[in-house]
Amino acid sequence: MGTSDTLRPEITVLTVEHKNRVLQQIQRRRGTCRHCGGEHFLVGDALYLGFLFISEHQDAYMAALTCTNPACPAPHTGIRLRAPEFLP
Amino acid sequence: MVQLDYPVWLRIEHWVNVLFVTLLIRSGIEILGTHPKLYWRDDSRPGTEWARFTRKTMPTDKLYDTLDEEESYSSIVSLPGHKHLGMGRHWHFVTVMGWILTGIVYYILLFATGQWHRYIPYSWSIFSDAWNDVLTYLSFKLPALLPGQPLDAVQKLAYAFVIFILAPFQILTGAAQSPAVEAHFPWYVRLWGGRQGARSLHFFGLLAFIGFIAVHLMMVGLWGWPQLNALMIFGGVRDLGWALAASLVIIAAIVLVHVAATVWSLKSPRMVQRALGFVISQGRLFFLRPMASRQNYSPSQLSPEHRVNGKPPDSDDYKVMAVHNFVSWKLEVGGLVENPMTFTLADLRALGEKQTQRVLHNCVQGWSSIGEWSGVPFRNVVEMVKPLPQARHICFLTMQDTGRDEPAAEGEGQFYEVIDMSLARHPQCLLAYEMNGRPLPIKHGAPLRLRIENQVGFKMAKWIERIEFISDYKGIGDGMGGWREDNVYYDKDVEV
Repeated sequence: MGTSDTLRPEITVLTVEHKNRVLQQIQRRRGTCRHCGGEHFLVGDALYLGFLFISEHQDAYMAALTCTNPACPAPHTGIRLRAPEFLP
Repeated sequence: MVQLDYPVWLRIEHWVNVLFVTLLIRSGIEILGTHPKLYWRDDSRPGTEWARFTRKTMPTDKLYDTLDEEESYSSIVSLPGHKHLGMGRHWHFVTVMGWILTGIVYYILLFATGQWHRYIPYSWSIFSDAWNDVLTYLSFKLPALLPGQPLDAVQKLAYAFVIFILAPFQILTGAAQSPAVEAHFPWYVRLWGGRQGARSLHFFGLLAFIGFIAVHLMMVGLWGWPQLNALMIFGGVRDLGWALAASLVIIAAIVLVHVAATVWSLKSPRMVQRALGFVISQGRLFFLRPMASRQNYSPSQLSPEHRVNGKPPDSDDYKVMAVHNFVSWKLEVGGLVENPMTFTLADLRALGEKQTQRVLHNCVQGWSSIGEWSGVPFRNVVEMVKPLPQARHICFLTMQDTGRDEPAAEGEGQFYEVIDMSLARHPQCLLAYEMNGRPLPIKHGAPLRLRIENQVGFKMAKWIERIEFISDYKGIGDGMGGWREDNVYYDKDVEV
């Protein structure tokens, strides 16, 4: 999470509760890192996709994930979620 | 006073003028159709238009851009019609160059030969005479001509208005819509109430010309089509049958030029782009290229919502970068340089003091907004990579795949734009990573976009991923100097 002048205007800041729901969704989907196959992630904030991108559903978000495997060549990744899946 | 004749130059100028003005009207309507809304305020905020020539409604739950608002008009009213802004611009600008040259010659000859007596009134009484003439016309009678002159008072005033007020007014309001003129002389665009004020006034000028032509034709019909056409073709009232036939032949020839221009533009747009673009570029580069931007709008003038053209890259890679605030994004700068470099966003932010500029954005479609952009002066990057002597242009490659991201646009492929090296050193040529004091929004080109304030908006590539210094752009895309140049036939150099 950044300060007001570095936080992207499109970013939705996630609370701990939101982040736990994102992790639950990863577990439910058996999500793994596409670069190293790692299963553990740190959850960041989310980007609302529904308004900006033509292919996305209206309630689509992408949550930022960072693969915790120190050997991962590209630890930054993300998971696409519908709003009801992680935003109460 | 001396009885005025109709010298050859006056007659030629008249008919050339008919051709040019009608071409200007049709190509102007094509340009209007690309953003068929008129505003008074420079933010062009949706819903604030005072006139609209479209029934389209835009979504509120999905990002739309101004390409979605574009209208397709019939070729009967617009040149060439069917949503061909590039062609419309070429015809408008090449015609206006011809029209201005014709006008200069006309003015010189008018005053050199004494023909100005025909149009310039000598006495205030002409206004009361003109009013009486109007009343006479309204009673379905023809008024008396002014003593020794071929016109009645209201006709004389109408011609004086068109020649000495309306025509210069259209040229001046047209010039006020050039981004180079606006960038170099910000006071000039303010003179017209801003960019959108100038555009709206230019539209009223169009209406005035259409109204004048309609009334003029009606008057010629009322006063005697064969007689007046004989004056304007043969220089005297004689051979009326031939005059009538000749007038119809001339009108048919003018219509034929319009048809040919339309068909040529629709069938061979690349040829039109090359031929007319060559002529226009000479004028642009000579008169407008030297005009560097020196804008500095006040914070209070910033548009609350800056309009958008182009849609963000709709790829997972881009979205992952975006949700991580572009920390993994890298800008490669290479090509014909001594020192190729790669920059992260943090690297760019650390490149000395950031430059901030509050400027008017001119879209090729006609809308505008005022924004504050901050980033790295591009000349700093140029100095770091040290271009080789053979580098003459700079190609900005973006992450946008137009076939995927921009269904409203014609064409496919990676979006790119090419600028000349000379523009890179303009003081307000900027690689912007911030807008209005915040990180550059995704819809405006995050993480990095180009700002060149004396150019039209499409040159200012958004979502940049690579900058290449090149000697020639003929081998890139279709070789016209940019994706829009390749696909929608715009000019590469767009100071207007």
